[in-house]
Amino acid sequence: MDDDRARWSVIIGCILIVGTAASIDVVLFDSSVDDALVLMTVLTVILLLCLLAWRSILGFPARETDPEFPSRRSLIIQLASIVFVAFTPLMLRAFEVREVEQTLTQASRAAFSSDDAQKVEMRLAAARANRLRVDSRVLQVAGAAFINTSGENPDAWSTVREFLSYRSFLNVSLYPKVTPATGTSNYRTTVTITNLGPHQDQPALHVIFAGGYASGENSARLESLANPQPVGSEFSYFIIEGGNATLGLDGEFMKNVIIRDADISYAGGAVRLENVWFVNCTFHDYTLKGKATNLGETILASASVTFVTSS
Amino acid sequence: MDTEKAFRLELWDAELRPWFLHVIPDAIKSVSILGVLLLFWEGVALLRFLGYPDDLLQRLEKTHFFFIWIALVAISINFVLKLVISTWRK
Repeated sequence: MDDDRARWSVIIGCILIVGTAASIDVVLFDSSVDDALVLMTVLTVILLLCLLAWRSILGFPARETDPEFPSRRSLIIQLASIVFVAFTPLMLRAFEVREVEQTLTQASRAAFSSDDAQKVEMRLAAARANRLRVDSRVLQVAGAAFINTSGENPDAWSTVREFLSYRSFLNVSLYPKVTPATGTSNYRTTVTITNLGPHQDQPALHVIFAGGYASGENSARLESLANPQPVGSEFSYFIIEGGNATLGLDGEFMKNVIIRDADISYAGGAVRLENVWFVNCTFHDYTLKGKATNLGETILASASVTFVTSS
Repeated sequence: MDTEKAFRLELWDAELRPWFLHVIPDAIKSVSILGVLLLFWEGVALLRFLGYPDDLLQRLEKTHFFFIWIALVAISINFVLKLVISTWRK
């Protein structure tokens, strides 16, 4: 155990042999991961026993009474490799962000085909999944280009939905972090559910008062335009936590509302949104009708959405 | 006072210094191996980002999982065996 170089050769040898054997087992022989783990355990034990037997035959090296510190050159190389490894993921992320931005910029400049629209959609979905943060101005310009051409190129609308979802992902770090409020209110909230997902065990949506007291005019609202409430909620914010349901915007009056992790639908109808934050939402049922393009542009333009339309 | 100083010197020379001399190089090497595996993981993420097929990427992810598993096992065994053998020799 005192022979440092030999010991680490054995460790690296073990890693290479056992890791490669398990990879071959899964890739070439279609074994399950569990079987590969059993194989790895058995191989590790066999290698360890072989090593002990080999050392017993040859004899353990004499104990070092005064171990030496690694040489400066060795230390510098090892520390440099650690720094390199630590910074490489950051460089890779920066490269990936630039790649997405270039794709968006190129797509927004040229007349794009259905393939281009699909490529942009996939890139944005991958960027969202990998939590890459693209510049919101690039996103706004490219998204507006897709929205403007969606009339002639209906394939682009699916990409527009992904733009909206991505913008709401960017809002994760921007929305006001208010805490749930205690107390009660006579205010009656109304939300529209347009669809239910397959996970029936999950709650449809969860509405929370948040941010403390606010006077009537400044307080949050969450009601139907067809059934207006006489006074505000007297709470600063409403938080709508997404669940199994799709939240409809048509016919809603929302003021100071944070919508988190929800699926959003909109069919271009009347809506009044004041200081509404879409955070990590998806827009699967956001259809190309009525004022949907205008609301889409507004969502892409800023984190907090204020938008009023009567049709 | 002199006794305390002598004790500190002896503690450093006889116990702590050899321990550091063993642990620091081992820790650096362990982190280097895990770092290489982190690069492997980032490489897979980059390939996914560039649009390579999911089937290939899932196989690479499994491969990565196996290597990280055996690396953690080997590194842990190294540290445990070192402690056991040094205790046994005392």
